[in-house]
Amino acid sequence: MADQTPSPETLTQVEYRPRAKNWLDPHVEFRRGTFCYSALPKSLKALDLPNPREWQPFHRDWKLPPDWKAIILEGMKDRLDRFRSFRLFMDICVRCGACADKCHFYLGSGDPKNMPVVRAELIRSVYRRYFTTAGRLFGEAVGARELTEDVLKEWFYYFYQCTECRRCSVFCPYGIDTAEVTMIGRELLNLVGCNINWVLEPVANCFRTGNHLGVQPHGFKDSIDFAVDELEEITGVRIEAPINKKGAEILFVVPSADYFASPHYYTLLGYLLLFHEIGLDYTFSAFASEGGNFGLFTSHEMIKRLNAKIYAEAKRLGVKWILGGECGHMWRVLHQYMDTMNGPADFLEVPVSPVTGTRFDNTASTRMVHICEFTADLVRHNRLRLDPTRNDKWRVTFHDSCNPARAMGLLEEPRYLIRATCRHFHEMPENTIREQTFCCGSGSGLGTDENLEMRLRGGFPRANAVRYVHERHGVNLLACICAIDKATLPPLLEYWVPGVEVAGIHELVGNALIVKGGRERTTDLRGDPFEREAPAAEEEPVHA
Amino acid sequence: MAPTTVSPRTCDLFAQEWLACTLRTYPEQTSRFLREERDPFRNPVGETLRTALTALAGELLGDFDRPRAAAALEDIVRIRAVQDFTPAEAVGFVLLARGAARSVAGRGDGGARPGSLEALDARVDELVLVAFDLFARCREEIHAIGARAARRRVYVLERAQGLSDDLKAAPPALCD
Amino acid sequence: MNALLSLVAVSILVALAWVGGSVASLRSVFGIVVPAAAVAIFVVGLAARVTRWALTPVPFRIPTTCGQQRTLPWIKASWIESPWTRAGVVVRMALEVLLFRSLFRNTQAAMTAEPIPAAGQDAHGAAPAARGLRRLVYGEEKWLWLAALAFHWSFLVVLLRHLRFVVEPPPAWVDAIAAVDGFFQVGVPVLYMTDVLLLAALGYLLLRRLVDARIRYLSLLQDYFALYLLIGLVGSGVLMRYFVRPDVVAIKELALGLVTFAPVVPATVSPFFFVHLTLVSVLLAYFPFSKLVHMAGVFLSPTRNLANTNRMRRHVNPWNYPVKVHTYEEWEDEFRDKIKAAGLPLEKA
Repeated sequence: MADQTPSPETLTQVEYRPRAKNWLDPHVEFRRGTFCYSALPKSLKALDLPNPREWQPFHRDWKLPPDWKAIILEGMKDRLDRFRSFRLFMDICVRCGACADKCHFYLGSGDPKNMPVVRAELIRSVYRRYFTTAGRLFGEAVGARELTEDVLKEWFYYFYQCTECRRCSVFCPYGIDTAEVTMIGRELLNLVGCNINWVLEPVANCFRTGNHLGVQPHGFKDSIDFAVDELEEITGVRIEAPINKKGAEILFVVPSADYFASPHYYTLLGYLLLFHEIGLDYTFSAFASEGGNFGLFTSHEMIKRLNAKIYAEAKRLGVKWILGGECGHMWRVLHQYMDTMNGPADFLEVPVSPVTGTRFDNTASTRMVHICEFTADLVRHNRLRLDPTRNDKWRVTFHDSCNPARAMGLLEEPRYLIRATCRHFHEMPENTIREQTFCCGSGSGLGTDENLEMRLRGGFPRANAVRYVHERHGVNLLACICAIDKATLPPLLEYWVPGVEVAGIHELVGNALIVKGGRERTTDLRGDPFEREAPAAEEEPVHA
Repeated sequence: MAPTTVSPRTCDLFAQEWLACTLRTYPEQTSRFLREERDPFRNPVGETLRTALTALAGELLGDFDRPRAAAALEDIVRIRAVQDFTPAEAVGFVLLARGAARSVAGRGDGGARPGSLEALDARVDELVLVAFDLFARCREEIHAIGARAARRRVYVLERAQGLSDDLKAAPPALCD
Repeated sequence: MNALLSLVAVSILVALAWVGGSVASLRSVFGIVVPAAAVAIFVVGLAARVTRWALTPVPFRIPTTCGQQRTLPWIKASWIESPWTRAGVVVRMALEVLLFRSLFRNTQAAMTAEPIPAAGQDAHGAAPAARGLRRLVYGEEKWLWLAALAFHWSFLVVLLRHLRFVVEPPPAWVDAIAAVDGFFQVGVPVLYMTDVLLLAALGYLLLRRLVDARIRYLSLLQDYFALYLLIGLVGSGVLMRYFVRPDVVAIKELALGLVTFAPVVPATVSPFFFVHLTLVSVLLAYFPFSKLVHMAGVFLSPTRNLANTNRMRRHVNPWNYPVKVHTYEEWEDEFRDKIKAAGLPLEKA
């Protein structure tokens, strides 16, 4: 070998990319696979957002407006005065480090700036410099930084590397919620036109056509009709799926992926079959054809702009109350923001299940019920005939999606439904589920292909826990109630734990549901034959 | 000539040294956490490295069962293939075994004589090649996975082909 | 670097205080003016800070839920971790403030050493890879929680014990606390447990910042400053109680003078006491402008002090403003032909 060949030691023993000892150094490198592309100007224009232009994060010149710094600082001041959360979280962190190892991106990447406390410090350091006396006087000595373009680029890199999953806020002794900081950080970036396409194109589509994909009314109807036809092939039952039907009792809102993507689609089939079986008087809306709300990943104002159509359609169609499908961030908005932003919903009634008569007092004001709450109530009252042996081929685990778990507390209903419809259910280790659940690594609008490497890193802690139940219990199906999960967990598991599929809860319900009429079913909603086991085959039921 | 005569203790020391060298390829702020946190769910990267490197050390100094070694190697390469490493850095940790072995041998714990070090080097060379294959396979997989995910996103569209021209024209790349 | 700078800063403060206590002309400055000013800054500063927070609106109800929400009556809801009543919120906050509930949440899983027998797992094609399958056990990782708890509670007890310097005669319950604190009756004067705990906890909190690269990375000058200040404060107190033995009667005279607004600086008050008093003053004056305000801020944290009643009761945002939306009419106008062709109903035919 030639002498100038570097020895293995020199090649690999240097500390990789020796990082600045000090996090105040804002330099970041935009490597392929670890960031999302910028939003197209047409999306910004469609939404009247500032600074539409052609640019990419890896360009040197981000074409910021000349007064960008003043815009950001003014925006910060405005938000410090409007959000107690933001002001408080800027002031009270003691940097105890309890959150440090709670972030899936930190665990998967090892990048110390992914520790939640440091992620917040990125913006807190600017707060100190411009909004506190000590920071003005002592500058970097007390962790205060000038707002420079490099700092802005660093914000972009790390605030689009946080999935707003709130896991760190569970462990923070003051409840500091990095999701809140990231949301404000992204709002600020949006003020100078630094946004990502995977978020803004769906937002623009949703604003105009009603859903992320930009599916127009006839396209929406075609998709639903296609599902109705396919359901007839599987079950022999012809069902109705009304759209824009005035005077229906219930408006049903789903994330658009349910009628377009796989495996979401099988969940849609499950809903349709269930509604048919109980004779529900409901309607879809071709305008409110998206429950998801990527405004949540843009700005508070955008949440409200996109969310408005749900109450508006409920009012126009004259329904009594609203039912919502399986989706995570959609439910964060519906549970924590909708009523405040676009309520009061005094034109609706407090939801009452037409089948069981149960009054959903927990939603007395918002008047929107989660499908898992609704179906759990049906099962509890024995209104469904279920054959769990039809799901025998699945060994199921349940992944709590971040938002239903940590912004809603919807933990038991889906588990109740799994136990009612499946015979093999195994929980993942307890510090990876429920309120401590690990994110899929692709939430908050980061689920795009160009970002796949970062997503695989961020999703590793989740996948690692899945791998444990896969090896220990032979788990081959991960059930979840989030459209982003259903889109991004299949690739994640393909990479880390091949052999585990992903499904929605109502796909399992649809499989197990025995419907009146029709013919003897031989296949599940995916069209695969049932693989029943002998009734006695039940092994240890639930790993607690 | 295989270095089969080493004691379990030497094997252990070797694994520890190798792990320490490998952890130094991570940022200083993180390596301690990776090393010390023993919860396999809170610290999946560190614990996978530890478990797999221990297994690999056993193979290198023991029977050198190729399928078993490859399985352990894959656990590590799969992780490093998606982390912030160049390809050389991603698989280069295998070569750190040489330095680790010499450092352990230098401490005079016996078992690892110069002759057996050469045998070990040969095995390490073989592992590097395997690691490169695995790395390339992981990267290919990532691309294939991305492509499959893109298709799943328009699953209904594809199946309803011909149903509506407008559906076909809908931008295929976006959905949550 | 940060650690060193803040050590220097605290050392300078100690030196200044010593000089102030030794030079006759400065004694009334350091014995009366500095503490009085510090208390004033503390009160006004803290009030201003809390008022500012309180006046900042809480636009949205954003509790972090850590347990099952209240939904259907037959589903057991977690009234503390996902509270829907005032009592639930109060208990949740109390657990947070008094016992540091969230820090306690550090469950740690570990694999036992011996592999579990593979029981028919292979039938499902689950091939255990390089690592053997081992049993999972849960442990606790609570050092940070323990140290934080030890520090805060001991500090409170020490603070209460000090009441006997400023209240004459000392209330019985203060004596009772002191008696319990000195329960083990070790040494003369009796060793207080809280003094030991305080120093041990502070030592641990400082050490983890210095030793753990992760924590060192995120620690700022002010993090070390607060710790050194507290260590100096506690250290000078311990020194006086157990080793130097200054004139307690004189100190009490000074303290009583301060709280009764009739300040005197007796000639026999030792410079050691001036160091102690000055560090307290600095702590008080520094408090409202530093991270130490977390003590007051935790009560206002919207992810903790709000009930998870989001869908039960409407939360009002005081600055909720109208936004530009896309209306159904605009939507129908744009897609009228397509809606018609698809056979969907129209508002305006």
